[in-house]
Amino acid sequence: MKKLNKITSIVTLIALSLLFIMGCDNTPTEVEDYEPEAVLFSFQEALEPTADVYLQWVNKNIYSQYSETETGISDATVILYPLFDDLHDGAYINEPGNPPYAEMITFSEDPAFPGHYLPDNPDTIRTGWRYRIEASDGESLSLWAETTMPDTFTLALSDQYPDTLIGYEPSDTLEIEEYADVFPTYNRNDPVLRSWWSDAWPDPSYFAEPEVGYLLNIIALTDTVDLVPLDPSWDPDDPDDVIDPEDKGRLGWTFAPDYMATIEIVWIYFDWAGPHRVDVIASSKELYRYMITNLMFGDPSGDKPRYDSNINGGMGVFGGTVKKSFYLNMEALEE
Amino acid sequence: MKKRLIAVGMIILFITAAFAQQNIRGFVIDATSGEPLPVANVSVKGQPRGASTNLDGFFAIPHLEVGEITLQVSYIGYQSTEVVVQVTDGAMDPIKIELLPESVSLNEVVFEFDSDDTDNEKRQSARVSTIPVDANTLRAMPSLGAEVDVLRALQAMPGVKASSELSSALYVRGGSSDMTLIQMDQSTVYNPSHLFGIFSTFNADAVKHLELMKGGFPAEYGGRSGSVLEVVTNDGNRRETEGVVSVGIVAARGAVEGPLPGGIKGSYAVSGRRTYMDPILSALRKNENFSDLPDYFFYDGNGKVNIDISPKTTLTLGGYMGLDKLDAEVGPSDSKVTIGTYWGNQTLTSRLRHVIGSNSFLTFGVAYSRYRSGFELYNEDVLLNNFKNRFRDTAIRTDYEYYGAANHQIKTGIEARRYSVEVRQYNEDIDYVNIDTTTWNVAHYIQDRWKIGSNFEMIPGLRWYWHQDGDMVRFDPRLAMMYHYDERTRFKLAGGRYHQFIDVMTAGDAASFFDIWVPNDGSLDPVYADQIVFGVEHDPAPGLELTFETYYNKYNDLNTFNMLIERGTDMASAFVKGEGYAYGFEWLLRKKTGRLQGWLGYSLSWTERQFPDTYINNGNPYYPKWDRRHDFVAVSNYQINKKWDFSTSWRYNTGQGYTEAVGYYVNRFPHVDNDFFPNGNSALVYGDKNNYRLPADHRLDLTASYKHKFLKKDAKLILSVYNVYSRRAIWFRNFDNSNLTTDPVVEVSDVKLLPIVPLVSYEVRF
Repeated sequence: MKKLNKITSIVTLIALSLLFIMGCDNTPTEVEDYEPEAVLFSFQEALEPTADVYLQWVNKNIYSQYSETETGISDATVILYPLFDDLHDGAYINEPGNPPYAEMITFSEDPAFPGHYLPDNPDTIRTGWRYRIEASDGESLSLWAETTMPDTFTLALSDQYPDTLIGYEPSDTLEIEEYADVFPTYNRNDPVLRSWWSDAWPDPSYFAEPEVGYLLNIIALTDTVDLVPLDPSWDPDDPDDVIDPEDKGRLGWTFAPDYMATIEIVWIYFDWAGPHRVDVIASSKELYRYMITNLMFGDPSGDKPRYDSNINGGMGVFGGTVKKSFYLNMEALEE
Repeated sequence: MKKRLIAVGMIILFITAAFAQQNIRGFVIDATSGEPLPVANVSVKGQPRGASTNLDGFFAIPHLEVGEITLQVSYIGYQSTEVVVQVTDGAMDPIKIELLPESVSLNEVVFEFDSDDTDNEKRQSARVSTIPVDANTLRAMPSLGAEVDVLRALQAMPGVKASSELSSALYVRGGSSDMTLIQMDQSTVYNPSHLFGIFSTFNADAVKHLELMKGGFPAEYGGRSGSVLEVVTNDGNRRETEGVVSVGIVAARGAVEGPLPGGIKGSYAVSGRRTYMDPILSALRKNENFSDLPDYFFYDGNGKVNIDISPKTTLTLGGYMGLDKLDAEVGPSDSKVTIGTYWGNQTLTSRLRHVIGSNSFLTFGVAYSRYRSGFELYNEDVLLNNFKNRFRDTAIRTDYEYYGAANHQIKTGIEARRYSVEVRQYNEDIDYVNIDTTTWNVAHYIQDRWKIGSNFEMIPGLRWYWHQDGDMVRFDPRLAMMYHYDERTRFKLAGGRYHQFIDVMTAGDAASFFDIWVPNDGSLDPVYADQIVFGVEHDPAPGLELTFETYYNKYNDLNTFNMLIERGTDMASAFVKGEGYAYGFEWLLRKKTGRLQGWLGYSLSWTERQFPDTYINNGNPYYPKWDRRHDFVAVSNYQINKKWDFSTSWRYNTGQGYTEAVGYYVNRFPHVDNDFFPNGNSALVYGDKNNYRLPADHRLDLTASYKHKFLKKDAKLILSVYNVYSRRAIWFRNFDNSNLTTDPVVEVSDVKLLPIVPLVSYEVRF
């Protein structure tokens, strides 16, 4: 009888554990009731006219089809104004909370694109100044962000690239096949191209935590459908070599922290034959952080935090840039 | 202050020594090989007296009456025995008690103790949450690739979680994997994994004994805030030379052990293992379709020499070396990127153990452990990235055990560790990371196993640390208590504080070989945990143990790697601080004798972490990946007859947490028109960290082994089926948002782990 009781106790223990398991196990850790947030994007280029602003809601249903008209935020009031000279003498023009602001830019919505706002009174963006952007609709939308524009800088390239073409912008009418007549052509057997740049921040210790940097972007200018890989073993007639348009990425981002002043632009960075534009972009701290987190959080099995955003009350980024570009052509080697 | 503390410890020892009286002491050894048996039970028949052997097989029972006594000795996997000992007034040499392995005789000679003498192993100690696993149990367990794996065997214990089937990392009672101290012959091992975590670095042929302390461990252990895994390797057969050769699908193994040549008293043991995927991969690469296959292999080797300088003194020299190497070429044919990756451990241990007088045991050891990893990326001749990581831990340690007092067993020790880290990541343009630092950590402990009456025992202990960087001094008080309710039932309570002065920078579980261990540089408070464990142990029948335990761990000053770091000069910028807790309930029913052996276990647990004011879950609390609510394990080994035995392992876990996307938006980049994205450019918005769970995992593994003779040698054919009913667990859930024009925009897919895998291996013992 005593033995039976022990067996009964053990069986009961196992049964209870199984009951616990079956009773609790389908319950998710927590069920999210996500309220869609507003997203703002604005990239202002120093020494250039005021650029546009995009406002949208996060699309809550990931299983739905995307609709631009449903997600764009219309009828918002958007303003941009300088606050103070952050990188130089610290001179103030405005303080938040005391409108109207000096040199304030207002925006109006593009009737053809919901959520796209164009400046009503564009002005030249100052280098080194801190700017503030605000967007509101008097109801659920209330966003603001600040960022400091970098200073301008100079770009140099190794000898095989002509000095005269650094920063030279082709006209809008230049056809793709004409780029090779204007800009130099390289292949993967050529010596690697090296770039140098001067500092876009007057005092590297300006930021308590030096988190600014440079973005390098290699952009294939050929239309996606016409892209031809540089790989000489690629055979356009081989069904195995067909490339899905989704895999034809035309951008190649590289990052350089602010303490780097040079980088080798190795040819493996170039995937496609044809003309390319290479941007070296000095980025404000907030933009650099946003881009870094875009790159770093790409591990599908890893952690998935949100991209680092400076938009208070929402997501996206308000960033400042100074861009220097150069153009070149890439040609495939014979196999 | 430090000197004063050491002095206090020594004074306690001398006071205790003043009460020293006659006792018996000795070693419990394997009768066939002469190897010491750790954690064997030794009790005095008819008296409530006894002891368990330490990791060197040594025991002592103090204050015995002069005259004849009978010692009952038992050890898992060995035939229990009785030994008559004459206790005399004069000095007695250490005695040697030999136990015969059960496998030597299949006649089931299991000594039936009287009811009040049932299985002394736990009854003799107030230690809680300790799971000993002997080599026989380990080798009988089903295993992936028919390669018996030490860490995977421990994952089959309640309260021990794995992050996935592919990982051999241990997550014990809510602690992260770096919170478990892993020691091999008292040398700390860092990142103990091969093949990206699929196999552990411990070759089962070289392992004699494992002991996992899941929590509430005594003051003699320290340096980690969660748990301790002690791995004791084979000393080697002191009687005759023997060996084993094994050939499996993945790797070949071999081991040789025997007495030392030239009349030197002692033994040696050498073992090695190597994968042979590389020639297969090389052959496959000749086919154009497989030309991108990488080149991979791993090997490891253990060696140990024991020299019996005298009956009371033994010198042990040991070492381990293992390396994984992966080389690959990727990219277009005219501009290949070559990748060279390696990681591996190396340990060297020298240890002297000496029986002092009639009542003391002293060990002195020097241990060196090195972990190195790295990778190189080249495009043609241009170095794109070079990463080198070297972590060295050099330790000097001495432990002194005093058995002279009637009701006290005192142990004290001191260890000094020198941590050295070199981490460098660079390319031809710049040093991204350049860490080169060295620091010392000194620890001293004292603990007393104190019997109070016949029913109560406690182990108070204190461990203090001095850490050079930051000149930090910390104290860890520890206490364990046990009360015998009756001869079959014991109540245990243990707890204390557990400091950790070393942290790991990890890029995630899948890439653990890149983990960088760094000692605290003084810019951060060290991690510490406060633990409390309450347990009840009951012996329903001889050879059967039932344990219930509940625990609560509070983790303070947690450090986790700051993935957003751009540049920093100290740990304060490389880590973010947080806190956490874990609590749960476990039961384990274990059958240790008979033809059918094994265990059933269940764990119900919670663990949560929070890193306030950081990017990690926006500073809010979350359940880490290794938080699994339920965990049920059933492991059995049945010896059908002299030739066949059969093992099964079934495990059920609550699914792993994962972070599900709750929305998406159109992403934008500077100076790039969105026309460059023919299919749109979206960014996913993820919800709270680990806000959902994958479906529950469960898997059955079977192993059958057939013992026979091959060329007159003992041989074994091992047939193993992994994942018998082919229920593929989900490794991770992927959200593909690369195309905004599809309906739906986000495609969700599961990346699954292995289906059913039948495997075979063959081993010959000589």
